[in-house]
Amino acid sequence: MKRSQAEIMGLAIIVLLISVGFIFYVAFTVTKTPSRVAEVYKYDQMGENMVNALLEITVPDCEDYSIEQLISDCAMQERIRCPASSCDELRDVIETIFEGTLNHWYVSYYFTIKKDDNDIMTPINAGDYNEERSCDPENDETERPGWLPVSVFPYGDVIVRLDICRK
Amino acid sequence: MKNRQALSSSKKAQIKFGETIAIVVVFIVLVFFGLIFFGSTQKEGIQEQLREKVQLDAVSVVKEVSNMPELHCSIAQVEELNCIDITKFASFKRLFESDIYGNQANMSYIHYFGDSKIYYTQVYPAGEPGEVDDEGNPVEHVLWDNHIDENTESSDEMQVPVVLHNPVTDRRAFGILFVKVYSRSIE
Repeated sequence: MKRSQAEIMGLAIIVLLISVGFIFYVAFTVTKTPSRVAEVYKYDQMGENMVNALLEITVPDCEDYSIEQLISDCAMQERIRCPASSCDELRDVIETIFEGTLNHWYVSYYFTIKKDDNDIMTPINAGDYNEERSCDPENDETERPGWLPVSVFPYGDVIVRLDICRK
Repeated sequence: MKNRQALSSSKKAQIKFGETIAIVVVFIVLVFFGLIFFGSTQKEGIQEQLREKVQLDAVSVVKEVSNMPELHCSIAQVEELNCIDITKFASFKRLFESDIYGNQANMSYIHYFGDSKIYYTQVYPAGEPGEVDDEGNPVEHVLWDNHIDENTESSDEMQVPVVLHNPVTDRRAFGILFVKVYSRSIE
């Protein structure tokens, strides 16, 4: 009788060991995060690519001045008239572009144009269109920002910056 | 007496034999379920690897297209980043559609583009003639669409903001370059 009991115990231990091994294997497999290679690449490059492309484009409604030229004018004397001022035209164009791209892709972002740390244009936040996508670069986790300086010599430098928040 | 002892030994042997068979059966059942489970998790693992490969292929194609001199803008032979010359794009596209050079071009570039779709749309200025269809949707300017197998599914689309330069008018529009890579799913 004792021998039988010992044999059954042995069998039970084997079943227990196999079950525990199963549980560990399942736990390891289920908690493994899926690969996000493309997503990481996309968001890592997005800020830089957006800013690079944005500064180069020309505005047909404003005598084909480039965005970079409008930024320079907005930061200095605001002499360009489209007929709207360069600052107003700048904001319109950038909002139109973001509407068709970052807003459409549900990206959380914060866009600023600053001269000597002062905004020359009201910052554009994704939260203005959708509260859930509001971006605070100082408190939220962000991807690599896209930023470029625009020289307005001898008045200093303007920094165009796009922060993408991870949400 | 001897017969009784022999009978008792025989019964014990039968019980022992039954025990052994039961252990073997239980073991086989456990191994069987283990193999089924292991097979399904391996399948998940292979599918995940395939998804990762498709994503890597998409990134590779994006980098390839972004750096192609066949599409880049250039001023005084200096290439510009994130810029597509739309006249070059149109010529490149016509090359694939050409009766004379089409086959050769397709065979040459399939090593770079693979089973993918590459196209751009113009975001700004919006609504220009030729850039929107009758329903107001942006027109897709397709360079390459090699979706040869209907049993394939696509990866997520990669989107890259680009400048669309028209060297004739010297105007620069804002566009998005899309790359979609197709792959066969494992069922």
